[in-house]
Amino acid sequence: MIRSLFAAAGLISLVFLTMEGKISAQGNNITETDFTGNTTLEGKISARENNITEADFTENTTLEGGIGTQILFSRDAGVLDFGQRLTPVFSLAAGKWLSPLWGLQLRFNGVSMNGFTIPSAGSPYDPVIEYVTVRPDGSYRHYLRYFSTSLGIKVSLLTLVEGYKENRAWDIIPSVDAGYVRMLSYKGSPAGNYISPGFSVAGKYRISSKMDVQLEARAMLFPGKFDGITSGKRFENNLGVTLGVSYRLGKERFRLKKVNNVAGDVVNEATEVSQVIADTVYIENKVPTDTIFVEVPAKQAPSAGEPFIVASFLFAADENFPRPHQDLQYQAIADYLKRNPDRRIRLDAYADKETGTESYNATLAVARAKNVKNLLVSQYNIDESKLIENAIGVKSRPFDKRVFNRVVLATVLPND
Amino acid sequence: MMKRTINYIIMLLGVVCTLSSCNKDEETFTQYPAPSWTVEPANYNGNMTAVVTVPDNLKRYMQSDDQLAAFVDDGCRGVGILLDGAFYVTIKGSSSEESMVAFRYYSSRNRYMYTTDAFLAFDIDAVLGSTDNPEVLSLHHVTD
Repeated sequence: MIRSLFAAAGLISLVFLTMEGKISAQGNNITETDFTGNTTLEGKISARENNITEADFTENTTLEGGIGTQILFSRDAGVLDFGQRLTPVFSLAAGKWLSPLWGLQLRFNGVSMNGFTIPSAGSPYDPVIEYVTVRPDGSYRHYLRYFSTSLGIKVSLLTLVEGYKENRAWDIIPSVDAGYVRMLSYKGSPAGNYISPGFSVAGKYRISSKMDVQLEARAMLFPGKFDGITSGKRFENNLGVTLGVSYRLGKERFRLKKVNNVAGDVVNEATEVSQVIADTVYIENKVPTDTIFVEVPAKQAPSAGEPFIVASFLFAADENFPRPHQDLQYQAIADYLKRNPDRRIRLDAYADKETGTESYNATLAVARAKNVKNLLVSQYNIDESKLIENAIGVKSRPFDKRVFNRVVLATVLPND
Repeated sequence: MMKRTINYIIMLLGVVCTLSSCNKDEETFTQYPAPSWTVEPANYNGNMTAVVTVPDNLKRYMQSDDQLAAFVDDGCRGVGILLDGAFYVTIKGSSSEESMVAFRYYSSRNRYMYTTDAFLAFDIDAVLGSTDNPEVLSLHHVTD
């Protein structure tokens, strides 16, 4: 049983890790450490820009405490008035976010529940009746006392849906856990030890940089005999609602950071950029999957007098630095100019007009053209005079598909 | 301002829920002292027999000093004898009367008094239930 729970927890962890990778890859507004352990281009730049040093244990760590009420759903408890089924509950937890998407949580909670028994023919003697008031219909209440310790996995639902945002005011955090429940001997109910899975959903609202208010609903499953009475059901469940606070011990800081390079800043990173691209593409034989393949008449003789596209550089949304793994495009330009030293290349920079104003996209296009030029000059030793920046922005769209227009097209110009 | 209002509302809800869940007073139900039911056999010239028992949900509380009796209106017509989980009641009556008989049951453990509707027509020498299959009474808790 325990082995199965750990296996399930491990599987869930892998799923979340995979989902996290996909979010990063799709959104392209955050960086990541790739699964081979090599830091990607944006990761290095981001880490440097954000001055990330060694991780502090208190980072992304929370302490939570709450009190509230809970209700037991059992075969017989439904006959009790709603108010009589409510019992107090407390919850203490320590949590660690291992990424913006998911984390672990160690929880300690208790303290009481109300059970209920309606005796039937042949019901065995129950010592509980010596301690409680038997109702005229023969039914009686159980006063249960317990403590529970559990370890679980929690997920930031809004990060999953919307992506990571620092200092988000609201969040919804579902979690699953499994743990040990100790039933105490109390008013005739026997002591016992059980394994109990749980599921919870918490709504958090940030009231300060260190503290959240948290409203949480948590369901736990107990074996049917947990109160000493064989109910005939395999499991009985309870639902607890607690209101509490969550306190952040350290800063909320992840290695996943948004890249906000400005045009020109990447020049100083150029040496490192080249090294990283070589590492990830040639050494690991990674195949770029996000490159636009455009039919380029690269083999045509430039003397034909027509301009033609020799390379293209793709960008993520709202990014002015080219995506990684496009070194073949750079190399194509370098090779062409080496063979044709008398030619010049125009860098036509476009933007995706759906995601910004025209003026913003124009600025973005300027930065994109400039960054590509800087990389070609610094990394491929191309004469700066051979490259012409041409920021087009959203004035025209070379491609029908929206994302393809986040691009710089390198066009070989005919000789004058 | 909005933030503060939300905080107050959430905290108020929490306090109300917590306080309500802490109300753990035991329920109380109407209880009675043990009755002293007797019959005046001289007033009646006939009788019938009933073998009855209590419902399953009350059987686990049955004790040897529990009492059960048959009544016509408020007049006691027979007191039961408890034997092997069933009460044997000899119900007294007159040959000419057309009365309806009810039963009352007293649980000594819980000190609760129960009664049935007047569902049984008195019929001389008739028998209700049997040793093997006693009649299960439909009991209502007496609250006044």
